[in-house]
Parts: sequence; structure tokens; C-alpha cells
Amino acid sequence: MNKKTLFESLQQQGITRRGFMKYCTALTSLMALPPSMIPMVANALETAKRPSVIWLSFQECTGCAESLLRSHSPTVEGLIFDHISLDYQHTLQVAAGDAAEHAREQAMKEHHGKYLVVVDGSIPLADPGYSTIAGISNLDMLNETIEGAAAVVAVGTCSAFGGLPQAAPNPTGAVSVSSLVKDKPVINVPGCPPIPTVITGVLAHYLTFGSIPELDNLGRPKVFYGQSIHDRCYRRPFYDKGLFAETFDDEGAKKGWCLYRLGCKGPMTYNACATLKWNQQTSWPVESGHGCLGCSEPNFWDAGSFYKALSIPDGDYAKAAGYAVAAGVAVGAAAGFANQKNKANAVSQHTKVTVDDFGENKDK
Amino acid sequence: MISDSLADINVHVENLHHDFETGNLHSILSEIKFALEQLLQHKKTHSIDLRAMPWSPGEEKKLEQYLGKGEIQIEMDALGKSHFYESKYSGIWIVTHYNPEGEVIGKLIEISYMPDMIFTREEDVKDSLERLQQL
Amino acid sequence: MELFSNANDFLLWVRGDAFNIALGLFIIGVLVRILEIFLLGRKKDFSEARGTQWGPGLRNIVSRSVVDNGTFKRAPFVVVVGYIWHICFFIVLFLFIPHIELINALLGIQWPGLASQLVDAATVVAMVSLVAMLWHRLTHPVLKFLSTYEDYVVWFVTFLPLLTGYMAFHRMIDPYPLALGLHILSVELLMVIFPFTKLMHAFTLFIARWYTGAMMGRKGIVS
Repeated sequence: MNKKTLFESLQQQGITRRGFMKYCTALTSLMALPPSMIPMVANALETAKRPSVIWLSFQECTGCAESLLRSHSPTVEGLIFDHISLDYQHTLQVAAGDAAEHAREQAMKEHHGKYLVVVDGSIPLADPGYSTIAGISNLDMLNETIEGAAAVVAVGTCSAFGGLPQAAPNPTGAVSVSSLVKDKPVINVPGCPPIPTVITGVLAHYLTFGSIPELDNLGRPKVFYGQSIHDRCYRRPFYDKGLFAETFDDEGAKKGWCLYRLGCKGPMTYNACATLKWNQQTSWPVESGHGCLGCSEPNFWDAGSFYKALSIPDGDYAKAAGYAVAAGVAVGAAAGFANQKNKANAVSQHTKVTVDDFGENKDK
Repeated sequence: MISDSLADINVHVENLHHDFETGNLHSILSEIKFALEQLLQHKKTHSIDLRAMPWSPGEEKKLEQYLGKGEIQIEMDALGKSHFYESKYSGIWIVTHYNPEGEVIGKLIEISYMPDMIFTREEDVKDSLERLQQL
Repeated sequence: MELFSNANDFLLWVRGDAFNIALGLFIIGVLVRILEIFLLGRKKDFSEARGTQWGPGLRNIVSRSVVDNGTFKRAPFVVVVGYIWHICFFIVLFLFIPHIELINALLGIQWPGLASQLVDAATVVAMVSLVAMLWHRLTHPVLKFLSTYEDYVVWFVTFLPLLTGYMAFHRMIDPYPLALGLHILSVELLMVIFPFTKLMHAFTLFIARWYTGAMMGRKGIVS
């Protein structure tokens, strides 16, 4: 069943060449590649094999899977899922208990060295008991499963960077996938949740080209995470002009001005929201009038208030300043009085110099 | 009633003073002009993925209004509908692909004498000949 | 050893602990320096006052900003470039919206800002004028002779925030959290060395001008 190419299985479903080309067009767009790549995508897809995918869910909220599954179906994303073989996903699969685990083991054996592992959620290291599946700790299951994997896709900020479970004080000792997996390629697809089309776009890339896309220094595919929200924001001209909303319902907010002062983290956040948008391209946070939270960046939960401008420090600077003033006054006063004493000493020890102290008279 | 798509929810956007100029319109128009020159000189076609643009609200509509509708409209039915129409400027085609649910899955501007997908392929002609001969 | 696992970690530290440390040292340093000056006091003046002190003192703070002809003739370059530098620097520091946001958070006061492009232009002019002043310092034989190690350190630490700010604004360093982090760190460096170098003139200038004006006022001379 897995031997069939994607094109063959599409043909079997009665999809014509034009349908296939249309599929390739949508797929190319989904992968954020330029339309000039459509023939290449079509070429690659004619021989593409259905990859086996094992999806592991660790310390997560299922928001990432929801983001993906609630995206319109059956669409391009749907088609992608028709053309990967999702062999294990404990929330979605029919099998349960031993049968489910068996499915995972079988997929690992059959597709050894070729299957893709998708992980959502972080891995607890403080105590394995914080999260187990079928009595297996998340760490053990990850290590066991990636052994024969071609690549690992870390879906969502929790698996990509540690996310919410890792936020201070990190009671479970949560870590990201990439901090554990060193000998396999790891593709980070962060976001809380990630844009569904980005998740499928990455899977589509692997399906189409059999390789992983070019990644940035945080392991994120450059096609989706190569530019910041700020760079592609349609409100950017207002930032440049110095026109900012100062509350969520002032004149500026109504006119759609820049949300920087309301805490927008767009300048430091790399994601594709401004172009791909959400909910069937209906809108995205900034278009809806709320600043970017920076959810696709590491430590975004610990990066201070969502509603504080990026230029504002997020430590307890008032306390620091208070201590500093006290210390400054104390040290300054001490130094001042010491200086006064010095001066007084100098005055009291001052001896008058007379002409007798100079020249020949000195020796007398 | 359970609604099938977001479009069913009756939400309308208040027309505020949203008259954003992101500069996308200008850059797309100059890209189109350049592509038309290329088409004339080298017979090179070009496509622009409209979904890859960071549009401001209403900006995409503005572009469509600007390009207008020409004489030809083509409808294709493969994996859902697709609409092709030539703008009032010849050689500029606006292509929208829908899925079977009627949701947009692709939107492009094609600069060509005819959108590539419309042409019938030789393989398909051979295939139909074979099938007719078998009748 | 990996100090920071990524640029965001670095930015987090720069905006958190590092800022607190820099702010603390800045406040302590400035207070100590100013208290030292005031607590040392001045000798009592037993002569009979011929005029008031406060008015002329305050007036002198402002009036000394006007260049007198003599100074201008002696060093036109320093006067002109010095003015351009200070004006542009103040525009950048006080009229860029993200800076106003910072000041508002720290002190609870705010004022309208300028369009970012204007601030950007002021940054370029400020940087050019700083480079021009360094060039002047290096080519003018007397200035060069008088210059100490500290002068060059101060120049460099003042130049850095402008350069990193410019680069962050134009997103010339990738990723942006690193760019912003470097900018804030360079400002923190400036804050730390500020009280212990000639940069203190930003505060002491008012004290010195007031004293001069006050003394003259007491003597009944127009300052």
C-alpha cells in the first residue's frame, strides 16, 4: 500500500492531470514556494512515496493537533493526510492500549530509517512520572521511537522550545525535543499553536522532496519563519510614521495604527501569520487589533507581560532603583563626610610656609 | 444550526478609515509590468502567488478592482471549482482555485497568453483517442 | 560553556537582571558623585552680598548654552559639531517612541514622539558628528596631546548605542532579539561607566553653571 506513488493514488481516486496540477499549485503555495516551482513540485510528486508518520504527544494541551485537525477539511491539508500514513497518534487512532503501541512498533520496524516522527509537547526530565504513555516515560518513548527515524518534526512551541511546561519555575524539568535529539535532523515548527498550513507545509515538503527544508538557527523552516511579523505587517507603515495606538479603543486603535506600545512582540517574532493568516485566511492577531504575543519564539511565556512594549525592561527595576538610591545615598554621604574630614584635617595640619623654608635659608 | 464554514457566520467588518498603503500594490503592479515585457520579448510566462502577500484589509480587493474584468471567463471543475478570467488588461489572468467545499486553496495572477492549466496535454489526447478506439 | 542557549535568552537577561544591575550602578554612581560635590561644600563667604544668588545662578544655566563669540572664533568646529551632536542625540534619545515608552515605564512621564524616519536621520547625523569629532581629536595636535585613554573609551561607549540602535532599527543583525539585546546591552554599558567618567558632565554641568552664576550674582556682576 505504501509502495504507490502519490500521483498513482491520486489517479486512482479519479483525479485528472488538471486536478493534479491544481493540487500541485495549492501545495506549492502551501509550502510557501514561488509559483515558478510548480512544475518541480509536480515532477517530484509523480514519484513521491507515502511516508509513514508516528506522532508522539507528550506534555501538551492538544492545541497543536486541534489547530491542524480543525483546519478546513478535506482540503490540501486533508489531501496531505490522505497521502501520509499516520501510523500512530494516540488521540486520533482507533486502536488503544497494547494494540496502539503495537502499531507504533510495527511502523518502526517496517519503515526503519524512513519514517517521520512528529512530536508535540515537551519532555519532563525531573521525574518521568509526570507524563507517561502505556507506562513508558516520554523520554524512553522518544529515544526508542527516533532510533529508526529519518527526521523529527517538533510541532508547537512546547516541543520546539519547551513552551509553557518549561516556563519558570518549570516544575517538571521540561525540555524541548532538540535538546535531547542530537543525531537526527529536528525541524522545529513552533507556535502556540502553529499555523495549521505551516505544519502541513512542512510535512508536504518532506512528502514532495523527501528532504527537510532549509532551517534557521533555531531549527525553523526559513520559508515560514524567515521573516518577522513586523517585517511583513501591514501596519508597519504606521510604526515608521510614529503613529501608535495607546489603548485598545482609542482613535489610533480604531484607525488601525501600530500596536507596538500595547506590547506587540512582532519585531522579535518570526512567523508567517501576516501572510498565511488564520481561519481560512480570515484574519490574524494584529489584523484583529491585538499585538503579537511572540508565541513562536523561545521563552515567550517568561518574556514579561504581553502588554508591555518591547523596549521596556521586564525585571523588577523599581525595586532595583529603590535599593540603588538607598545605597547611593549611604555611600555618597559616607564619602562626602570622609572628604569633609579630609579637608578639615588638611586645614588643621596646614602649616604656613615662610621665606625661611626656601633656598639658602632652609639649611639654617 | 451548526455552521460548516466561517463564511456562514454573519460577521461584517466595519468600514473604518482603513486605507492602508503597504506598498504591495505598487510592487505587484511593477512586477506585472515587467512580466508583460518578458512575455512579449521572450514568451516567458509568470505567476504571482497572491496568498503569499501580507495584504492589509481590503488591499487585495483593490488590486482586483484595479485590474478589472475582461472578456473571458473560464470555469474548471477538477478537485473543486477553479475560476480563470482575463483582466481588462490582456495577458493578465486572475486564477482562483477552490476545494470541493468552495474554500479558496490557491489564488494567483498569471501573466500568459492563456493559463497553462487550460491547455489540453498531448498525453491526455492520446489517452482519449485510445479510449475512443476501445469503444 | 554556553552562556545563553539562544538570542531570546540573551534578550531576556539584558532586559531583566542586566538592566537592574546597570540601573543600580548608574543610580549609585551618580548619587555618590553628586553628594560628594555637595557635601564638600564651599567656603563661607563673609563679604556682604551685592546681589541675589538663585536668579543669576539659574539664568546662567541657560545663558551659558549660548556660544560667545570668542569661543566660536577659537574653535568653530567644536562648537558647530558639538551642537549638532547634542541636538541629534537628544532627538534620538528622547523623541523615539520606544524610548519614550521606556521613560514612561521608568518615570511615569511621557510626551509626543517623532516619526521613526526622522529619528533615523538624526541617528545618522549624530553618528557622523561623533566620527567627525573623533577625527578632529586625532588630527588636532593639542587635542591629541591632551586626550587620555578615558576620552576614547567614552567616545566608543557613546557611539555603540547609536550604532547598535541603528542596526537594530534597520534589522541588520539577525535574529532581531540579538540586535535589540546588543543595543540594550550597549546602553547598559554606557549607564555603568557614566558616573565614573566625563559623561557625568550631563549632571555636573548644571551644578557648575549654577555656582558660577550664583557667585557672580552675589558679587553683583552680570553673568
